[in-house]
Amino acid sequence: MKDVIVSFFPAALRMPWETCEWEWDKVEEIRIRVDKPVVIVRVNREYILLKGGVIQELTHDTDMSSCVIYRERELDEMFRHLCMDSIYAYEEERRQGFLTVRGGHRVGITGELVVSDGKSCIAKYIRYMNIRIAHEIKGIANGLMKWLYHAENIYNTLIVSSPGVGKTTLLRDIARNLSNGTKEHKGYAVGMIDERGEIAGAYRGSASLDCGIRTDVITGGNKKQGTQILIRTFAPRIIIMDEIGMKEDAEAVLYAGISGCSVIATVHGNSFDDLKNKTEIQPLLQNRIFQRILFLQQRENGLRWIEIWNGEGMCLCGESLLQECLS
Amino acid sequence: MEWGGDVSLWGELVAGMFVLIGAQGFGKALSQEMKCILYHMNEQKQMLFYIEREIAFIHRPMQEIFLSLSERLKKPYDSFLKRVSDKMEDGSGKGLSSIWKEEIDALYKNGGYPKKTFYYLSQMTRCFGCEEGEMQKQAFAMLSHEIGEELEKMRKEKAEKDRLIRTLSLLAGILCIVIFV
Repeated sequence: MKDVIVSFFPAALRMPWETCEWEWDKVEEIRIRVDKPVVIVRVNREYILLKGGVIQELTHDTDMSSCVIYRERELDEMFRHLCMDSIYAYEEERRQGFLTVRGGHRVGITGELVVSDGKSCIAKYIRYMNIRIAHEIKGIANGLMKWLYHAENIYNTLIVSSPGVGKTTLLRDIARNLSNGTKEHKGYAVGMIDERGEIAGAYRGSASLDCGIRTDVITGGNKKQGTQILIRTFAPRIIIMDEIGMKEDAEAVLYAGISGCSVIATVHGNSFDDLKNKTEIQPLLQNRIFQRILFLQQRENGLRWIEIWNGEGMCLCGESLLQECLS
Repeated sequence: MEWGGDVSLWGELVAGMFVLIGAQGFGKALSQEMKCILYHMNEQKQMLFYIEREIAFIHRPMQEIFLSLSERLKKPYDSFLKRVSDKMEDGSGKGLSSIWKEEIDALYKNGGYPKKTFYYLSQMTRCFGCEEGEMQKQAFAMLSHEIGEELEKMRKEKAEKDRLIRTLSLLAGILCIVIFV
């Protein structure tokens, strides 16, 4: 993992990262803000990196005098490096505010936005970056798979949690189980729409994380286009999609449902009431499109708990610990 | 002046022939160097054309373009681009411009090619790093146009020089024979 983290930085900025000995495997995020200390998030705690390659926990009285701070020029250099000296090739990603790098790690980018070419906004100056490390933990969904099957059918399922709790990791493991099959159930053709390359850790279109042997992955584009392509040409039994956030995404879910596919999707949220207030999710809930809703929560000790509800808003399975701690 | 009858006449003819062949050889060597430069410029122009199209069509990043071109271009550009692509991929954190310069230096040291050969290749570093696709494409197109003009000029120059050397060497040979007979 250390090598992966070092590879995010251009040669000139690598020194403190290379010399730092730490448990990098559990790092979730690296937050880089111009002229501010680099903050590393690991199991719900924040740390800063000192120039000598030492990690120190961040508290209100942490001495910031010798911590690693990046300036504007260094952030520009880092962005160029992340784009592998081909910034033009990442224009679309830049507009969307993130890049996916090798291994499926996502780098959020922002700063001053401008409207370019009369199209959407694009970051003119990139001054803030958030590197989110993709984690692959196999087997976390094993215990809840039985709740997703209905004879030989799969319930349309929505995974709900706050950002950074592990929705995508859980979604990937569910996809892998459905694709490979289990002792009781055969494997199905799974179509995965991975707009940001995060579920499959897609790099240059290939999944670098295990999503199952019967999974076809579409990276880039949008959910509507992805659903159409999958249904027309790949005949999936199940469609997997991450983060329903817009009206068009909800339309893609409806289209998949009409076409006879089961949908497993994720959305940001905390509770059933919270979901009801989301305008893009409302029609899906009203039409009872989702028959299973999984609420994923994280406690302060880093452990993840899951609650399983049905589409009518009835709790089927109270809080249970996920098979493994996601962090 | 007596030069020893028939034997000396033959000697003069042979000397004249040597001058002729020598001048032709010199001309040929000069022309070979130009031919070498023309070959390299042609390959470089072709490289730029491919890069431009790859960017225009699917916005492929440089490293992938170089890898794909390394299978299409002739020596020494096949291995040159493969090495650049590998170095970009190996995660050393070096920028494209510095990798490019390093590889040009290596090519110059090991290949024994004339220095002029790599002028435009080193000029390509000017084109890297554009933020927008069309701009990036145009940067390469402009350099390609520049190479095209230089190629045209050099082809004309080469044809003129070839003609001049042939005529001069012929005249020099004839002059030798005339002077010494």
